[in-house]
Amino acid sequence: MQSYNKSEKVGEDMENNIILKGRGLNSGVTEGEALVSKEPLVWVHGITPATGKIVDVRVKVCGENVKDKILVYPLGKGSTCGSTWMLETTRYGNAPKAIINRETEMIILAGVVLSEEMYGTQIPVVDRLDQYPDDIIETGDWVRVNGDKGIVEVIKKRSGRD
Amino acid sequence: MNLKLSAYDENMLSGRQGKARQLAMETMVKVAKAFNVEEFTDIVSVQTISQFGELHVSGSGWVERLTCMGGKCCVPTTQDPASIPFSVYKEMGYDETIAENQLRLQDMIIELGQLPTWSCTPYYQGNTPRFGQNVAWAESSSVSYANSVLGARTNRTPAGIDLCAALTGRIPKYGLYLTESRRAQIKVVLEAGELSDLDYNTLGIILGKVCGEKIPCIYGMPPTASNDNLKQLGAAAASSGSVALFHAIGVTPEAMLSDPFDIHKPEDEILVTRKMLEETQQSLSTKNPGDVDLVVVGCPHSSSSEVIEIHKLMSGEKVKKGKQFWIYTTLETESLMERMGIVDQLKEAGVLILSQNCLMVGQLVGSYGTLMTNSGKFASYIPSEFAVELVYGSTEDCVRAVIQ
Repeated sequence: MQSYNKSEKVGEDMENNIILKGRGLNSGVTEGEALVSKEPLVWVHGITPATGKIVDVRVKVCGENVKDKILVYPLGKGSTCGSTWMLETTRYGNAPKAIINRETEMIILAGVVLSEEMYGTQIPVVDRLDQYPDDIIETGDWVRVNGDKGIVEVIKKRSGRD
Repeated sequence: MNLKLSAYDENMLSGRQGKARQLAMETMVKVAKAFNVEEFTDIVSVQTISQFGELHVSGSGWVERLTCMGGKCCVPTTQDPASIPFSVYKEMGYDETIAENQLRLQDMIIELGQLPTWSCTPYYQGNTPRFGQNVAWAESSSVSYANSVLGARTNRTPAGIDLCAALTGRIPKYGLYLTESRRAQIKVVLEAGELSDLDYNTLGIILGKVCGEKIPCIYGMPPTASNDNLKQLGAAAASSGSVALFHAIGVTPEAMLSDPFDIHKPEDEILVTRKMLEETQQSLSTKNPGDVDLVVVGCPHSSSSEVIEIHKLMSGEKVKKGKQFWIYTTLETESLMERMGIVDQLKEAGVLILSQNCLMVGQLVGSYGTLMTNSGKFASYIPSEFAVELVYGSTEDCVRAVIQ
């Protein structure tokens, strides 16, 4: 289990690390680069499973890729098939490393649970953080996600990780 | 809060009722625990997502796994439209791989004991829960109809979980299964005079945009609103937003029994005027009405009344050369229309009937510059799905666009 004791971190500007606490919906610990959408995301026809690319022209992050990112967006939108579109993204190996929302829909969690059942891919999910994640986290920030404890640690881009 | 499981749930989890039920239950327990759900509830029917276009290879693999484990539905189970129109997909030139996968899925769902209805209007096909009954339906427009028009209770059941519910007859009890979660949040005052069929679609688009996933209560809806009107309204509101339940004073059942706001104040109040309806209607077209290559109607699937109306409006005229008119509907409706001689006459007039299929989960076979539809839901999805111009108008205008 990863520790969040600040003294254990090396090479970071301590002042810039932000710890957010929320609800861990799916377990697992991971870290990676954030991709942040301030608008709700639609998985169905909005993200192409075979590429991981966001293709919904209505959102600003259109053209970005979710693969291996810590995907941050306020909430999900759209069809009840979001679960299987997300599952197919996992099958192609293009799933994000973790998902952080203001409020996670059960539809996306179902996709995450099935991803683990079918392909053994664990995708930690955290929501209901003490601050809106899409306000605090910016694309390019380095983010550590602990889905067991519901803790998110944000290392801002300018602190040298970029 | 801890999840309390019944003896029946525990029995399924133990594997004594077979591997499929065990896996289905385990999967739902994971989801229920994450969201702190306290218990499961019985359901009386399920509507699944079983079209290849939405399940893809992975979701089909999930269905296959549960089928191979010997899973059997224990409540009446129907499913959303298929990715191909089974009777005409070959002659229309649908993608063969998609067709093969869809046919395999049809074999599997029949093996699982689902009724192969393939429609987004299961409530017109006998999957019709009573007021207050719990069901687990997927597909946003049928969810809206079950909750709002029938007064049954369902969440927007995730694809993949729907089948787990069908195999166990159980679903995590959260969200819209709870009375307190069904309370209206947004007050919508309608002051727009008489409403045309198209207006109900347009009103739905406005509701979805204003409410997002919140629950509206509409004041001033004419009590003459038909089931088809409410079907169209709900589908549109679930496409421009995620509205899973709407109340309408004097129209929908829960609003007849008690104040949908209970003792609470609306979070917001909006006034919908004739001007708003007209502006929204215009905004849904990407170009001015004019040349239309293809009309698509039947989203959600056209009812018998709606097909009869198209037949009447055609009044013996034919679809002009170079233009097309497609109706998406159920096989049951097609069969009824056949017995009335309407199918033959429509075919003679150049109208294509695509039963058990839907444009949004199927294919736009052929190439077209401009599509036209009378459906708010189609209008909110078509411009982002296909590289075409779209005209949104009444059924009458749709017919006029192809016969003139």
